[in-house]
Amino acid sequence: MKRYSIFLIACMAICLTACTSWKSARSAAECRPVIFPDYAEVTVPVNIAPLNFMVEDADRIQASFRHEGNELLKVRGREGVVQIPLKKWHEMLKQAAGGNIDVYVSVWSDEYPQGMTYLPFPIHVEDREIDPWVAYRLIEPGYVSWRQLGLYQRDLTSFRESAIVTNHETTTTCLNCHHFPSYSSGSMMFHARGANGGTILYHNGRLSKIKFNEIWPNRNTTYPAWHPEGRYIAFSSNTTHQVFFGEGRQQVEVFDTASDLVVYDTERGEVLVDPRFFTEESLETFPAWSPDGKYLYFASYTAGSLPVEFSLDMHYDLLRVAFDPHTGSFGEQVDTLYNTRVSGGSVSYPRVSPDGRYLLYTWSDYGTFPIWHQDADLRMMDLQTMEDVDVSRLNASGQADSYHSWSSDGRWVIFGSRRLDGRYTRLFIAYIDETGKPDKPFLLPQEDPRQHAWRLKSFNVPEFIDGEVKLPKEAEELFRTEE
Amino acid sequence: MKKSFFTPVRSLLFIAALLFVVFWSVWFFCYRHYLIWLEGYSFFSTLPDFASQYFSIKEGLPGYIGAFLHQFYHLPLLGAAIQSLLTVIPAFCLGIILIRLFKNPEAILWVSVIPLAFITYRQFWDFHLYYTVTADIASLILMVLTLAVTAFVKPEWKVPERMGNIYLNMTLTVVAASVSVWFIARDENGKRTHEEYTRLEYLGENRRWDDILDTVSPKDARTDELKRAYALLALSESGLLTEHAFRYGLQGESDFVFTDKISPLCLNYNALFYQCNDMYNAVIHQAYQQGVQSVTGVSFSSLRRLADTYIELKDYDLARKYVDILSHSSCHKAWVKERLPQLEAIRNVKPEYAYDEYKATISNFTHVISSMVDRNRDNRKYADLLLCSLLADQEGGKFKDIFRYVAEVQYPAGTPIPRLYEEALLMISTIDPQSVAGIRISADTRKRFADFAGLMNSGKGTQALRKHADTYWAYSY
Repeated sequence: MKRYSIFLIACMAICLTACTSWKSARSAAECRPVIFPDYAEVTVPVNIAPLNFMVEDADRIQASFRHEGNELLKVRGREGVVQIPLKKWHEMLKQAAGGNIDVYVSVWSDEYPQGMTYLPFPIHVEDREIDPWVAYRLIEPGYVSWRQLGLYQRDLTSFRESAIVTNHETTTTCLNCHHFPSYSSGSMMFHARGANGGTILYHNGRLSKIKFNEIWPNRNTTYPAWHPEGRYIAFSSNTTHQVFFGEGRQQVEVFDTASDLVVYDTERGEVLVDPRFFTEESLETFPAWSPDGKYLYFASYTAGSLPVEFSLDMHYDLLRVAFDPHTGSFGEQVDTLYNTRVSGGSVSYPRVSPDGRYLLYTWSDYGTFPIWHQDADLRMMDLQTMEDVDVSRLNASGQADSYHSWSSDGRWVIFGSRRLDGRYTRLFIAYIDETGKPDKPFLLPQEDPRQHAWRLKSFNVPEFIDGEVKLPKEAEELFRTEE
Repeated sequence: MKKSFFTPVRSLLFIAALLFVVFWSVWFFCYRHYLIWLEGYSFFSTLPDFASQYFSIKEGLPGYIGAFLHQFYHLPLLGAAIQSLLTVIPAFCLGIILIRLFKNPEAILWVSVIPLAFITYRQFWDFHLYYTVTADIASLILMVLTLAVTAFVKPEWKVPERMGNIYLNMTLTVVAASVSVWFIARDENGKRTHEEYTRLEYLGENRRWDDILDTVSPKDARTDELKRAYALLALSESGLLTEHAFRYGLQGESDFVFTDKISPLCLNYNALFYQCNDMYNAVIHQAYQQGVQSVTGVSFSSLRRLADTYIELKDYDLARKYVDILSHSSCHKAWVKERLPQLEAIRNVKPEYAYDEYKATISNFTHVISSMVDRNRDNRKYADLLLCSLLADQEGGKFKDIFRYVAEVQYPAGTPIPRLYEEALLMISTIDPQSVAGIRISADTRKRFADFAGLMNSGKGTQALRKHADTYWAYSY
């Protein structure tokens, strides 16, 4: 009996060794492997989660990670998937910080049953951390109606994702426009649309619901911008429509027939209105503060005639107006930073870098909802010189690149792009150096790289935050309705 | 004394088996298309997002189990068996509990049949099997607990002798069972209608247009909008729209697609309609909308349609995404295998999206179908849909103009034109004589129109409408 047991254990050990031992590939290719996501030559923060990747059609896969010639980590995988152990990955990044990691990949597949080794691809590890969390909304792309949606957060140093708030108890409610003041996870706001909806504000440990439509009948607030000092929130108030096209590659168009700017004073619970930004002819939208809070940037379209109707001639300029936080009033002068009549296109989502130097925005041919426009790209302006900065490296040709946010140190941007399949928005992160030059963006890593394709929801409005949001459970009670 | 063959356990098994057969028969013979529909309406996947999503909603574990079981409903034989088994489980568990608790359980075994009625009362509308599976889980837990406890402490409970009458017990069992069967079989809240709708959906998905026309009578079509929609689609696909559209109750463009209904049945119909007419954006939109109606925001039928549509559009990335997701369910292996060569064939092909520069919104049927007619002047199906909807909306002027536009291609000189068009043109010609210039109207139609007009002019309107029922003239009066 004992002899049989030893034999059995020996067999199992041989099997396990055979299955997991490091092998040498018989052939060597003179090219780099085609990996998904494409992490070759990207720059990553020193605290990012493992860049798990895969080689399509491969079965067995091996990856060796080397820094300055020293092998720091070896990973084997099945089904062509490399899943790097979290702890070892972070140890490796610390060792390689400021330098490169070269990744040597070998695969075994039907095509290469004896194995194929590829030329290594480098990953540059920037000796800088990225904000540890990112918040976003997960929603099916392109519906009139919805079922399950929610605001989620992801630990960028691992794969942990958790819900901040969902509509699971009240599926008729739509949640959108989440926003945080100065990257703080301790305060947040979002809109809950529906029968018992309103704007949910969690600020200074207090939870409240603002019903803007009771302050102004038939008007609501949409895109928010929380003033850096915390007291004010600028909102656009949009009347938004969407249409679905029966033909063509672009299936959806979203547009406004009215939009104005207002400022909400969280201390007094009052809405401040400047009549210049509250007219029918001009549609102001996408407010964004300068980091010092002295300017409000926004996009604006002036309609040729009333009532405003959708047309391909809806071009939004980029404007700026001074703001005095002591009086809560805007300055006299309104500057046009991007004039579409001169330069063409349409501007959305202006976002100023934390050092106040650069302004990143989405440019599209027309309109105000660029995620459905394949021509939508990120563009950047140097606010010191008012010159364009070339950020074309961030963009994918022929696919929408849109909603973007700066990290708190201004060295990273996260943005949504439909470059993977044209329909589902995925998040990409890119390094931006002091001169505003971006590096190649990389896809937000997932524990299993196939998850990018498997997930049936789009990532929406990514916002960096300094920690995990712990919204009180009562937040959901504020918009709960009987179904 | 000779021991009876029918021990309590055997009696219980016999009752359970008998009930299973009865329930199975009801489900299979009365609601087989509904069972198939339940599979399409549900979704299950072994992917991580699906499990975490299910466990974060109120349906939780019972819903998750229900979603897993629903996968097998594409075979109604199996679906009926699962539905029946889920119904019988609580009765069986309660029976076991009674057997373990009582010294003479045969006298009280009929009680075990009572929970059946509570389950079957709402089982038909339990789309996610939430209540049914919850009852099953609860009864299984109770049974296991009872077995565990009675393994150590066996109670000596006894039912009074006077209740031990076999006829009384049999009668009570039959009554309780009959009530539960009645709850399923009865036509409450439109269950039968739902089965009829799902049958139409099944026939439509399988392109069995003749069967749809055999199933939906003109009278049904005139009173039920979903039946009418299916009948009109069947007529359109069979090339008979211009012959029978008004017979089947066509009243306007809204009869072809539902623009303000968000029930999965209507949305699935819309998706099928657009698929039959190669209007892929609209198919995608309707399929998404349909999926959203399911508890997790996605359903098998919508995913299958999306996958097939993107294959048709040669959009490899999205087609592959949906095929890949479906491959992570239990019953799509053959379906996926069938599509892998199609996927491979479009791997390096540019997607085919027609008319990138032209934009017609799908919320307006006339608008979108007009653009299809404009782009496909020789397409008889598009032209018939537009022309018939214009006739139904009494838009004679527009009908005349568009008919002339398509007639040059579709009805060159001498080609007979459909009866409804002849009737409409003749009627329009009473106001605008030029409308029939150069168009060949058959002698029979002219004769019938003369007869109709004669009757109307002589004050015999009712007789005219009765005699010429099913004509455009009757419809327009």
